[in-house]
Amino acid sequence: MKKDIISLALIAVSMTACSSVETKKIETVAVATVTPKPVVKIVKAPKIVKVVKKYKPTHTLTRKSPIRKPKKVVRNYMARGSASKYRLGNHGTKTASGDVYDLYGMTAAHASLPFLTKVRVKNLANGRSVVVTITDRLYDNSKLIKLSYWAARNLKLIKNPARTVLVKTF
Amino acid sequence: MSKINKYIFLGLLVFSINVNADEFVSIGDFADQMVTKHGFEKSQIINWISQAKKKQNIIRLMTPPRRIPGRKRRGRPWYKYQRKFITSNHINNGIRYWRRNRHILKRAEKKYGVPAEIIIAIIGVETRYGRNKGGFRIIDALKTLSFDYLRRADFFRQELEHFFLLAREEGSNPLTLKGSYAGAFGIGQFMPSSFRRYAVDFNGDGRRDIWNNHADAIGSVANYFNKFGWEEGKPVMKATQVRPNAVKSLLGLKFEPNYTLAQFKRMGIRYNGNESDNTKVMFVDLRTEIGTAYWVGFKNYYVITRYNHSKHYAMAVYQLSQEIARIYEERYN
Repeated sequence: MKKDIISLALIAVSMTACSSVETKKIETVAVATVTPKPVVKIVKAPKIVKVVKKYKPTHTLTRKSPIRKPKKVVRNYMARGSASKYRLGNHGTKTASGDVYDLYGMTAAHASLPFLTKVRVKNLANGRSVVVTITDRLYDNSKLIKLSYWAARNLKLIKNPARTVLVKTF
Repeated sequence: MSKINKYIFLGLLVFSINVNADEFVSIGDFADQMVTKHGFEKSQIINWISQAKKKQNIIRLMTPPRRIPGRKRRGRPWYKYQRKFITSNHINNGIRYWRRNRHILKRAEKKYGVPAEIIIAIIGVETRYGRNKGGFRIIDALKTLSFDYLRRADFFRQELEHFFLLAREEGSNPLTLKGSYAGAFGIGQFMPSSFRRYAVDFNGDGRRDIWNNHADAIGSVANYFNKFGWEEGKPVMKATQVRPNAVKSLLGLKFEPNYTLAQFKRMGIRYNGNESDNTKVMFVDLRTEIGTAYWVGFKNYYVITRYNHSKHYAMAVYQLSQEIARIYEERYN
């Protein structure tokens, strides 16, 4: 009796095993045929990111106060002429733009260029050049530009400021 | 007559000793203090100090130049001081330093509100951007200045105390740390007490390494300025005109921004800037190559002098910062 029961049980087990395999096969087939859509949905194509180079200044000097810019931008200005320089007595006086003249500032006076325009001044005798900001008006027709002490010193113009210089806007 | 002279001489001698020197405290007493105050082991302190050496050249460097009686010392003029620090070497290396550490400097600027060019100029003037951090052992310098040279012994003994504390806090060996002949160390030349108060860990590695790590050094300098009250976006100094007869009284004022602009104007300053009359200001005079010129210094100028108490030092830092900023702006903006 016992043997019979065991064999029966074994048969049953094998039967169920067979059936399960069959059903599984069927199921897999069904899945493959019926639902192909979600597979497509899950896989997302990577977004194509366009790399746009933006002009961004790496640093700004006056961070809390607004950046000061000239009202009118002058381009392609170039002139040759002689220079003069400020005297010690001008230190601390008010310039035409309202700024205080500092002898260690990189500023200059010019007859016509708008205030806060940056110009490159080149000493043609030795090739040295500096960038200065126009902050003052010059009422002297014989001179092209009047340089601050520190700008004149960087150009080696202290002893003989009347040398020829080249003034160029950016 | 000669007797009287002798007495006067003796009196002068005693007087000069009293004026020039602080009181001597023995190494044993100092060690006892460290034990009772901070719980160090006495043998440890004495061991450390006895391993330090007295350096005669430190004493020579710390001794002020001898005064010739009867002659007023005018001191070195600003333009000679200027030639040492406002050089193309300093400026170009400063621009390179800014470029290399621009991200750290931007972060420091945002956090502490101190402009990058000021931090760079300080580091440039102090150690030439970390190139010259000093080759003396800090313990040698502090031992010499607090036990063998008594002119400012009280101050240096305090610094020695802070130094042992900082070595304990940072877990470093006090016998190996190096600095300048006055005991200042690191890229920003901090004294031990200011290191403990103001140094910060700015790269997030949990250590305040201002000897080798530029991020920590930059953060520490910025924090130092921030704690002393740097005003973001305000000017440092501006040129001014002065009535010739007012110069003498203005030079007698304290070297601190304790005065308002209105007071200055009443005293004879012709100031042309647009600052309001109640701005706190101080008077700065500097001998340039073409003659003496005058400036009005603001709170920020005073904050720079907190790093080193000298008008020439502050002006050198400010001018170097301006030169660096100007060229950096031209080149990279």
